[in-house]
Amino acid sequence: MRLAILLSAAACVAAQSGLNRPALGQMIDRQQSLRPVYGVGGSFHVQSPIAERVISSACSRTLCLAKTESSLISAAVVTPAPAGDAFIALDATGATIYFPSVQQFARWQNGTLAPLSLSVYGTVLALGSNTSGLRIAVQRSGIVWIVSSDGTIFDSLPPGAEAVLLTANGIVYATSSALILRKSDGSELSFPASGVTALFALGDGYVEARAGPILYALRTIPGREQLFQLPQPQLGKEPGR
Amino acid sequence: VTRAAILLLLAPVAARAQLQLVLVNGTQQTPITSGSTYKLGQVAAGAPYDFIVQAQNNTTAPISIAPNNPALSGTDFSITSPPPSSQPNIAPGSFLNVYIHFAGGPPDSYSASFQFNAVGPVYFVIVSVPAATLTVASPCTGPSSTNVINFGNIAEGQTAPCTFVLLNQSSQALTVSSVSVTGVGFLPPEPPVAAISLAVGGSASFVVTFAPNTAAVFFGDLIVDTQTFPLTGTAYNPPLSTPMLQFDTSTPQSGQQITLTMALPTPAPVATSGAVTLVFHPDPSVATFASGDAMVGRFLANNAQSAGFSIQQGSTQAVFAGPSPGVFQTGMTAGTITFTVAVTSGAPLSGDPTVSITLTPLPVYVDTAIAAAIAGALDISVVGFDNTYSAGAMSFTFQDNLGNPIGAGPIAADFTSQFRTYFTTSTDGGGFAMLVTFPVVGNAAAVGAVNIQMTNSAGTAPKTQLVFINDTGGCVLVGNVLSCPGAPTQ
Repeated sequence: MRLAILLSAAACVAAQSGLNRPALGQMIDRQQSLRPVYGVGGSFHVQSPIAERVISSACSRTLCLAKTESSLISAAVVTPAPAGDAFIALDATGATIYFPSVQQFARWQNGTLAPLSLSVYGTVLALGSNTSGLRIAVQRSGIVWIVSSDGTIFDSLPPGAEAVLLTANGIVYATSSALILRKSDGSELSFPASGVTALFALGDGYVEARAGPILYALRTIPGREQLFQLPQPQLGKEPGR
Repeated sequence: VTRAAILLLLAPVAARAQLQLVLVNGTQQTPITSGSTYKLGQVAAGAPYDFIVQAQNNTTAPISIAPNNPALSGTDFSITSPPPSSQPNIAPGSFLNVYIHFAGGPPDSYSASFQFNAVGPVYFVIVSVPAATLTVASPCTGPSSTNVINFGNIAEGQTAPCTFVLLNQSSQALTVSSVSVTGVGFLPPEPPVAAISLAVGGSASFVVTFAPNTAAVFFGDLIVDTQTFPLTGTAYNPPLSTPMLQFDTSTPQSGQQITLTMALPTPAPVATSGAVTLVFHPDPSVATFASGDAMVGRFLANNAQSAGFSIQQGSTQAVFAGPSPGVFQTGMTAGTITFTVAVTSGAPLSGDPTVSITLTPLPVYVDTAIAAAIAGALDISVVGFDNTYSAGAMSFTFQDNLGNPIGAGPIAADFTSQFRTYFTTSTDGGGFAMLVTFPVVGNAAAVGAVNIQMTNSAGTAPKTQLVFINDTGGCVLVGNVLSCPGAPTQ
């Protein structure tokens, strides 16, 4: 089979090539402020806060969504939402969200929040979207299971698994002493990090892990997995531009 | 008649109004009466002696001071203040101190006659007796012309013992009755000195130790019978041995997070704190561009160029403050990072611990890359950094879904001018996010993968192979039922 591709360097240059700042995503700092993060793994450039009192967030190449006490924020769009925490699974066109305070799944899209007719047995710990569809981490009798929206069990985590995040390519979870990346083939990588209590999707291929005063950034890109630490601007001393 | 009687009654009283003189000799006060002799005691031969005669006006009227009063006569005696007739009178209920100085002299008995208005003469007697000569050995110096003995400068917490020798250089035997030390920081004589008999030419020794417990100037006295020798010594914070700055990698490069540790060759003599500051100097080849690398030269704990540290007394390890202690990121620009140490409290540095690490030019580093097939085009997105700011040359080798090459070979492209323009204004150092779109005629989904290579002045980076993913779209919400194919990913 022959493909008709415009194989021309000139076409590359003249057409749609562009250079921009390396945007990684967004992080929640120790003061619960939401900050854009630029750079690459190991060279993070943390910007001034764009939202305060943020409870959870998720960010991808195309969409960033953050939850405050009573709303969802994406860029300049603020959407009223149930109170408290939220587990967010981003996809190409929006986000599926679970609100533990009301035990309700919902769909966020273009600034509109719509409830979903969906329920699962157990305590929901995380949501994720990938090519297999929506996946849900639920805790049942002390065991964390990874299930589909119809209850089909995909996977489970060992006893002692604490914070959980479902990424496009696998599962990130914390034990008392380590951060574990379970890849799509089932193999695991362990990174020393004690006391991780919360995980957020920092950006495509990066997970933020909060461990007391330390904020980690785990790069989950296959073959490039590495644990970094995030810079922590002092209060009142914002990074310069 | 009545007025005359009163005047007659008062006149005799006024005529008898006299000063009351009191000898003030150290802590002793002795009323003085005319014609009496007062023995002031013994002083060491050659030693001076000072005492006070206090003239009190205990009446209700001023008492005039007679011309040339008070008056003193006697070899080696003098009034140091006030000068005679320096004031007209002494107010009622007040007094005037007359300071008298005996200059000292060879062994002998010395006397002086003193007169103040109608009181006197009175006689003061001082006996100058042979005394032992005091000498001191190194590290002390002295006695000086004012008898000061200096213990010098030593580190806080250290001690400086000095040996003193009492020598009888007179022609008769001597007895030293007591030797004592006063003042914080100076220890009593060792061995304790009680009465010592010194034969002609004989000597005795003892040790006084300067033992300061803080950095300061200390003062005290060594008292040998009637002789007082002022003591002084200075204590300073002992220096910190030159810290050794160490890194958890022997091959520092751009794009790394490195942990800095600071150790001392010897334990810290006192608790010490300070800061390590790092300064980035871009490589000359990128200096014209590298004004905006906000990621380099910052500690993670505070996102600042300086990190505070503390060292406990007796420890050889500095502890950096905050989370991620001592971790810094090297940024995305070639150059040099220089680390300096400053102490803000505690022991001063004894040497310069400044060190530098060099971040050599590297081929382009690719952090993340995504290849996506969209309608009529192929998108290749690359996020990475070029610490030389010289990237531009790229090559793309496409493959079909079976791994067969498409076309005649790699497609070369040169984005040098775009990169130069971008780096000129970048605030992210050598970091960049690049999107290259290839127009496609035909079924773009049939393109399976692409190998990309980027070249800069440091060389050509390893190939990055990307598998194309199709644009699968987003979730579909029908009523309140969701169907999610997931986001496109690498």
